[in-house]
Amino acid sequence: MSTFDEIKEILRESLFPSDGQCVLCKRLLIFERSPFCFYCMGKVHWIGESVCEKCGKEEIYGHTRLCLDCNYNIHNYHQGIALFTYTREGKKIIQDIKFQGNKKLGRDLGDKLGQKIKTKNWDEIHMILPVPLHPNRERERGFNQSWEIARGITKSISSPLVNNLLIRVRDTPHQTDLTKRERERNIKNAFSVKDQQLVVGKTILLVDDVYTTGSTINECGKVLMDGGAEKVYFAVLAIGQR
Amino acid sequence: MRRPLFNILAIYILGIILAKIHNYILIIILSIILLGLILLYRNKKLIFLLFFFSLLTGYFTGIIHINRESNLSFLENQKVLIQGQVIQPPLIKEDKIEVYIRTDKIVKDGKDYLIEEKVLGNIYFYDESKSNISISEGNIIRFQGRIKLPKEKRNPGGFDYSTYLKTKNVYSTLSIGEESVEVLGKKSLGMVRDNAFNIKANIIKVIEENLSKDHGDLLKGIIFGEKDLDNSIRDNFVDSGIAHILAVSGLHVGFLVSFVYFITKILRISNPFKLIIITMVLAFYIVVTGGVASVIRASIMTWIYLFSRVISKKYDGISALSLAGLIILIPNPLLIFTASFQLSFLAAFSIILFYSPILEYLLKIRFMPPVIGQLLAVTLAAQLGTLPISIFHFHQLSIISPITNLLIIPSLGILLITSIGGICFYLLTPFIGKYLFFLAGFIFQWVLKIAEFFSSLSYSTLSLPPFTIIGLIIYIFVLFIIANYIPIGIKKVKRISFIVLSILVIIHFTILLIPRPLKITYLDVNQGDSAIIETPNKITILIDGGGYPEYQGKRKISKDVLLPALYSKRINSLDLVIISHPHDDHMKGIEELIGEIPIEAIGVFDIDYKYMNDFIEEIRRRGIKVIKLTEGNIIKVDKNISMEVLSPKSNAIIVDEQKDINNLSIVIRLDYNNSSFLFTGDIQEETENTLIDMEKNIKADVLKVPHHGSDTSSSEVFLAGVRPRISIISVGESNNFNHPNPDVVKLLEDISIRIYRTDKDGAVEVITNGDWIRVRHYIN
Ligand SMILES: [Zn+2]
Ligand SMILES: [Zn+2]
Repeated sequence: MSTFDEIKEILRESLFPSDGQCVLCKRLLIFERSPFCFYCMGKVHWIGESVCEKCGKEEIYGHTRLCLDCNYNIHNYHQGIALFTYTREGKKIIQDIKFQGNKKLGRDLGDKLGQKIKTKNWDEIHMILPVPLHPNRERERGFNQSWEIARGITKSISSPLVNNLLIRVRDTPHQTDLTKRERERNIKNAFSVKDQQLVVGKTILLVDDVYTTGSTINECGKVLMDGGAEKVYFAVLAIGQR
Repeated sequence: MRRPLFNILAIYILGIILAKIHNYILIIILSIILLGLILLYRNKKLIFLLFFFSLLTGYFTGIIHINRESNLSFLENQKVLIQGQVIQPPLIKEDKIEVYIRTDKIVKDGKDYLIEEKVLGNIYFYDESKSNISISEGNIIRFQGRIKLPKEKRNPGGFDYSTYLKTKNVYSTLSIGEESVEVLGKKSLGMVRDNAFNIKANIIKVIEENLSKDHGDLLKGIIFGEKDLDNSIRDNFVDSGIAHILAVSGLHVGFLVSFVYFITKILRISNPFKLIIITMVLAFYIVVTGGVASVIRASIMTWIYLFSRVISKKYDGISALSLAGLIILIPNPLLIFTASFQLSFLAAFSIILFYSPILEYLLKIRFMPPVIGQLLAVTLAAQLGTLPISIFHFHQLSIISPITNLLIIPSLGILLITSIGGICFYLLTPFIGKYLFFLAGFIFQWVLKIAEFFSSLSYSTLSLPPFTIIGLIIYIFVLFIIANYIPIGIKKVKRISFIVLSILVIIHFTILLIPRPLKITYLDVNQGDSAIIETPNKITILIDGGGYPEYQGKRKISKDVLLPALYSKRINSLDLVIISHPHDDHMKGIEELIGEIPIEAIGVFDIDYKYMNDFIEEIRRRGIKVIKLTEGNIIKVDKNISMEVLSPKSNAIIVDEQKDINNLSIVIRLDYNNSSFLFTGDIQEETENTLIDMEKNIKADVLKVPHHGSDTSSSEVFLAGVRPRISIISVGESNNFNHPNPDVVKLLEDISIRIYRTDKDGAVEVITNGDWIRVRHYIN
């Protein structure tokens, strides 16, 4: 981003602050330090301590330390972390970022996510890779939400944020209305690593907005691991319930 | 930081206030703190740097504007011949025409001064009720006038006329006799203004042709804010709490924009054109209303709103208001001290803050129609936010205004739409225009009826003393709790809020209950006497009330000085009022107070005098106690405070109306522990000698010098008897009596430590606990 764009962004943000109203109930925000009003802050289902050790979902199956999904399926990543559950409120937040163009919300929540990652005893992260959009989609939306979230994360995790290394080669249709199987088929071979050299032996943090069935993260993890990455973590804002 | 613009505005305003109260120490401290923050928080240094600049900009622009002076001040109080151009449409008032003039040439004693300056000319009517001259904007006029420098705040609660005019870039005024005004010709004021005023003149012509005088004046008042209304109608609007529709405000801009928007929608005008049309209409409106802050504010906010739609961003009222504030205040920082700016911005601010929360409450009421809920919410929000300010400026609160506004605001909308529609159509097809005006007539009648009906209700307004600072904090705190901005639904917040609120309330009442020192304020009532006494336990006494001479016409000293001073001291009733003697410059103000503020008792001399007897009868009828004061009376006022009447004896006979009545002034010595005050009215040498002959105890620390410092009083023997440490001369600036006499002043200078004169020092406040005495005066 050029300095000129940055100044434009600062000016726009000071006249039209994107966190002037509560994301969820539109109440005017005055004393709140978050993008939610005090009441809606409690309505968002923030993920607590007892989570699946693999994917970070707030769900534990039986006497294991994993969720149902992680008990029966193998994932192409080491561990993941999420900020809140993808409930009705969670969905609204993600929509505000993606479709209302609320980049600042993405960054602010990314910042929170970064602070949470810091409390984990993860290996040193060598690079942060946002899950890419297909160039057509990014042009249409004007920005990539994962990139904004990743920018927020870099406030506390000072690893390089790398763009255009993990790329989307296939413009896949929206995932929303598909089943788990269909999603996996849909996303297959959608990603590729541009420069294999750069990922060899590296510990990588993947960043995305939502983790529902995990097909996107898994597919990205697969390409990266195939490319020789040492370890892949992921961080998302919202994670599905089941 | 959520709203940097708001913070910048707040800090900028703080800078201006510190400039106004000359507090450079606080500026230095705050600058150091901000510089420290810049060094400490490296990642936020940009915003702290901006704060630092805002503070200094506020302070220095404030200083620059406060210190600006007229280039004509060397001609103060001189009569000169002036030639200049009328730059705004003249405003016709009750007894004068107010006109802003740009001077070209000033002639004094045959010498020409080429000074260009904007001045305010007051052209006084020759005949009391009507003027014989017709001038309009653009006219080049020549006239004789006396140059005056506007007065700053001279009394507690007083109006700072000088600062007010500075916000209009005016630094001197002219008193002009109507007969000397000559119109020499007409010159352009620039294309934009020529056209705007031309359109305005045409609109006014259409209004005058189609509406009756009352209705037409009302419409002119509503559209252009010209207060050229019949007095009784205006009083009705004030009393029923809807006077704000007569002052152009954001509400008017709102109606105007909605109307234009509606028309452009009907005509299917494309978006960019819509923007251009609205911009032009707003620009026109700003020019014809004389660029008042409220219209500019609302226009800027409208533009920001439309702009937010163009770039599809969320509109944020507070940030938009803050930007408007900065745009308006940077060239004109002193505006923050004017009532109209404060009301306009606070109304807008509290509508942004409280409209939705109030609406939420109102819609919980069963059977509440949403439209009525919305209207009530707007009015209530505006009123709650402006309440402290409007009490501070106007000392009263309209209780019925939510109801009257509920009835008036929709009518106002319809009225404006039919009238503006009428004006537009009249220019195209007069027939439809006439018909619309005919319809508007009914709405005018309805509006006037509402105003008349509601103003006739008694108890429609409450007189209230201004908020104390802690009272104000409590008020705002409670508002924020009610509006749910402080979330007391959360247990911890609830507990903390409760504790904080209780502590504030306790502090508030303890402060009110703590006895304070005795305070005596010698007001500047021009040529005349008036002093307010406030005792430690809140007993309030007024000695004399000043009074304007006959030729000042309808002006009232009570409205100008007494009531504002009393209200600003949070006094809303008087325990005792003493009239030293029945002369206009002491008594008229008190006569004006009757019925305006509750008075427990009035003390007068015990002498048979027709004028006084009539007055006594009148006040007795109103249920005010009358106390006849004679020599030897002692009044216990408060703990350790008493007043002794030293003169006159009862039943003296008046031969010479002027001199004898002066000499029969009530003379009072007030004692509080070791300090004493002497009030002497207008006694002259004769009574002074009697007091000495009778060996009365006239020794006092503070002397109100007899008879405005005239040479008929303050004899050497008398002053030697009083031996005042502080002498106060209550006297009018450049009065016709040559008071005070220089010899008397000289004598006083020899005897007392300090002399204060209300003509030079403004009101003088003397504070004592019975031992030490402190003096504060209002000018320099
Ligand atoms: Zn909310
Ligand atoms: Zn899991």
